[in-house]
Amino acid sequence: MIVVKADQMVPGSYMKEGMVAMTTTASPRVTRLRNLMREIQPGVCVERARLFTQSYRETEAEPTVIRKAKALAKVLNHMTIYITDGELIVGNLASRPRWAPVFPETAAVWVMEQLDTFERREKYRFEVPEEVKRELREEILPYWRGKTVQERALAILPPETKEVFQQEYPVISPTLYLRNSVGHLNVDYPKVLRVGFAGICQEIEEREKALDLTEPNALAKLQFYQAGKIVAKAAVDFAHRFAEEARRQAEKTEDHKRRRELERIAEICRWVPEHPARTFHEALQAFWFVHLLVHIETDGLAESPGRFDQYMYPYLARDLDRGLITEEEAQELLDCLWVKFGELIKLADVPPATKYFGGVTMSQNLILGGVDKQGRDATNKLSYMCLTAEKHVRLDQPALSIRIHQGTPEEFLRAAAEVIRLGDGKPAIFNDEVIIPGLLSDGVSLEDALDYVIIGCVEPAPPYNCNGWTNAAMFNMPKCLELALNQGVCRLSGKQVGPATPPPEAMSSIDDVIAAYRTQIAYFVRHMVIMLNTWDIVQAEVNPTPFASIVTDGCIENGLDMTLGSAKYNFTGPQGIGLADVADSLAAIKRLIYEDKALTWDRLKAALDNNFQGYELVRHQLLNKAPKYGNDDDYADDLARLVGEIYCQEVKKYKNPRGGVYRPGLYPVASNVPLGRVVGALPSGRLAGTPLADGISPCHGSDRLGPTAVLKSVSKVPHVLATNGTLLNLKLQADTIAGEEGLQRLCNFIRAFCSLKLNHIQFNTVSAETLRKAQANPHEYRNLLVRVAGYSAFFVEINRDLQDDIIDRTEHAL
Amino acid sequence: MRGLVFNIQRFSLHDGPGVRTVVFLKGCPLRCRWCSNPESQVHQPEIMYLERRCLRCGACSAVCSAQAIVSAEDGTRVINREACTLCGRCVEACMPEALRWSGEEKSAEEVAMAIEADEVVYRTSGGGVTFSGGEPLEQAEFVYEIASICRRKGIHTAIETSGYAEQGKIAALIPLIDLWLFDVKHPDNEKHRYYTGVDNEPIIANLRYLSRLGVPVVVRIPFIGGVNADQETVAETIELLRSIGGVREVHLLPYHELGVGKYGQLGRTYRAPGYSVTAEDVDEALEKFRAAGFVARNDGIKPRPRQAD
Ligand code: SF4
Ligand code: SF4
Repeated sequence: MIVVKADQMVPGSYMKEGMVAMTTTASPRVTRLRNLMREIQPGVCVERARLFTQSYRETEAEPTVIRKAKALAKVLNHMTIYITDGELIVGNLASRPRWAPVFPETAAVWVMEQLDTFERREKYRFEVPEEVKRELREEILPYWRGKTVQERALAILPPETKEVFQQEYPVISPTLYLRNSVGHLNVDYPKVLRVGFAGICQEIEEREKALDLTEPNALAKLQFYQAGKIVAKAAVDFAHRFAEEARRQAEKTEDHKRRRELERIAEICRWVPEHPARTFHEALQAFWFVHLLVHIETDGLAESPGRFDQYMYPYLARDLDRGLITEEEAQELLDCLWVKFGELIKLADVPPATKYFGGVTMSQNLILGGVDKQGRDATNKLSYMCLTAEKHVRLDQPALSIRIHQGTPEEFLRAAAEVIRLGDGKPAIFNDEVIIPGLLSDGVSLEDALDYVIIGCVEPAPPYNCNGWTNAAMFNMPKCLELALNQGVCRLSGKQVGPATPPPEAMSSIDDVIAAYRTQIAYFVRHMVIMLNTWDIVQAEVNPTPFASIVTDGCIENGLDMTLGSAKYNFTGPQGIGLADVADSLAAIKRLIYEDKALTWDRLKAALDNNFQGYELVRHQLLNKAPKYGNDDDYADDLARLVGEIYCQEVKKYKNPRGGVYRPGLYPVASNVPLGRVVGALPSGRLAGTPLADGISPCHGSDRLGPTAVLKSVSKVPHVLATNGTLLNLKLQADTIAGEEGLQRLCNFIRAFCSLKLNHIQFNTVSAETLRKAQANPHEYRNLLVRVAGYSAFFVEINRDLQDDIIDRTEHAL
Repeated sequence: MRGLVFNIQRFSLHDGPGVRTVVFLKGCPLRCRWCSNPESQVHQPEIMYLERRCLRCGACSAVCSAQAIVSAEDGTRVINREACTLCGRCVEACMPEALRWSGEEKSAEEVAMAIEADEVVYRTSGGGVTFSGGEPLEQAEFVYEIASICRRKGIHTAIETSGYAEQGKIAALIPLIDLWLFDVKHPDNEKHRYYTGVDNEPIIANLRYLSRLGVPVVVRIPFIGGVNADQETVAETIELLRSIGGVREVHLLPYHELGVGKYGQLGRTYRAPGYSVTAEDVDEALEKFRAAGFVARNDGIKPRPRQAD
């Protein structure tokens, strides 16, 4: 059955291999469009970079926010558009499906560096036509030299912080928002559905008229309003281009049915997103244009649709009521949109020198269910239809999530569990009962907290109004412990990189060890804040986002671009990684050195210095004779709670330049592997360079009591403090959750998760491949539980034949 | 009161309804030839040796004042079980956990606390605790105490028993046990004695007693090739259960040879390999039981404690 262990997070920007055939029927149209997405080899499209740069050359004398607006307008007016045969929802990101545009304003430096390696990568591979390479290298990218966020930010980083930034084995990995735009938004889709861009323009004009231009800030506001109007008009014009294209195709086609569809598309694109949506189809199309434009404006990731089932449902309900659409037709439209989510792709920044790369994901997080603004269950017909769309389409995007609470209907939980059983790691599950109070503690209003969405992988945020910087950095907590036990000297480089805390021999109790650890954490969190605040200022200076701003609540009212802090909520969310590694290390020190006196500092230090070579017995002692987080044992779990608190409380002390607070998270986005590379041996028994624990999951192989004990241990971590999100990955063997009984079991498990007040959980099924690896490396997989003819056993303990049998069965399960 | 527990296993899915915690109690009056839990048989703690994990460091021998644990030629360890005083020092000294305790004395309160740890999961899944063994009725008073605490805390209780016990012990537990998982190993007394070392008469009497009182019972049959999996024995078993009346549900536990390696770890020999059954045997038998009016299902194999390794 189950293991609670720790591979990588599943959602990646690439579709997984070996997906099984669909289990419920999508229409032939949807199947065809979907399969098309699976066939295309991603490539690099130069158009956006070309048009954007042209516009920038033409507008050098103008204010940045207006230049940005004009550049976006130029792209939208001139980029190639297409309508794929059979599509019902239209709108494309680049000149071909699953091709990625280039965003030179943020990415010029790394695109130049990686231009020749994009097509040689093993993963995240992109085809780059020779003439595209040449144009980028010779004509486009040189213009941006010295102008990107990266170059400007690093030029002004204070010297001591710069040293920390450049460390060979760093504590902090903060480059996502240095080398890319921020993204990570849930913009106000429902507002566009309600009032259209015409309505938004009208609002901007009213604000503009009301300005007293002698007020000190009024001229900046005027610029923003002008920029806003430019992008709003560009959005409408862009839709009209599709109306024309549809009309053109309609005239050409022989197929009557398709002609009517195309005429319909033309009418719709003529009407939305300029005007309020009147039908479900119009609402879907308007949604898609908004979503698409957020993606064309910047290279930000994790642009999240949020509570799609809530704001879309009224349109569906009205159409069904009036008999304008059948459920089947509505499902097909929805399925077509699902395919479009899978069509979007962006270039991934994979420095060729990095041996291990965590991964990138588009993370278009779409979340279903949960409570409404009165705290009642809000699940509706569309929530179920979205689950069906997921079954029909099964691409890696959207990142599907559900919200649950005590009142979640059993029927909805079962429907979600059925999708989980497909084994794609979707939907992820979020707990209203923890996340809502957590958001309240961040100063979010009750109304917004009840209506929360998830951004990216696991980050809770208020809806439509938040610039949350939710994936601002990864912070390596075990590295801080390494430094605390070595007077601030990096064990891998031998250099003094952290404050000189006392040598361990001079520490007379575990409290002294914890104090030294706190000192290291405080030092590095401080530098992390200086880095991120530097990026923040420079993003505002050179990379405003007028389109996202006019569809984010607060910005029009405040008359400023959201990069300047005009959204209603502004956070910065850096993630602490490796909680379990620190907790297990502290537990081992406390028990073996200070309580049992079974180990001396001298011996432990020697073992760590030598990465346990020649000290195998010490390693076994650390692994086996000390309590471990993940076994529902308060001794280690209390230390895990403390480790979480130390990081969260330190981070929460700070504010960002947008007037918001720092919000800590405890999740890894698959970075636990690369971050592990920079950490030496640890008193948990972990070897130098090996992966860290995944999210708030226990260390690999140290949870010995099964998943319920893991749930209990994890529930002791301060979820309410880690308001930027936590992550727990559970693995299930497919046949444990097979059949009616298995479905019920999964639902029951999710209910327990809810009662135990955990933030997030996601399930993966154990693959035959994993089982084969377990056969080859039994020690690494010693806690891999499998089902043997109806009961669970540790896989590595059963005999070879039976193992083979289970592998065989696993391959054929579901 | 204290009892001898050899494992408390959480997240068990097949020993009663819902997600359960199984409390394995050490000591058993039967000596089933196919037993996959040899460490459950003896009524006292034992030391297990896992050669695979042994680093041949010698720490165990160095701390053993009875000189009961010695090195074989290849550096692996041999325990002289006669000389061993069960002082446990070698277990403490063994860093890679090649030496482990099998069986630990625990108080009823301690066990109850461990059971309560998954209370939330029982509530959401309709699960609870299952007492197993060995033979839990060998420690009936201990079970009584734990089950009383569980009753107070509203935790569902089940017991997995061979049925070989004095009726008085069963009578005392009836008010505290919500579900009886009752083994019927062979309908024929002689064969029963041959395979398990004891008569089946008291077992059948106890089953009759439980059904007469209307206590919820599920009959479980460890389904073993060459022992009770043949057509004839299945028919006899059906006959027996019919004559008892009151039993509605029958679970087959098809046999797999899982515990064989453990005999070696305990310094004992496994007497009779080759008891596995085929899927066809199981399906055929299930059909027969169903035809005879029983609710019958394949329930995997008998619970057996997991060991982290
Ligand atoms: S102490 Fe453990 S590892 Fe060392 S020889 Fe004894 S049994 Fe083997
Ligand atoms: S339990 Fe004690 S007597 Fe027995 S082998 Fe170990 S150390 Fe020796």
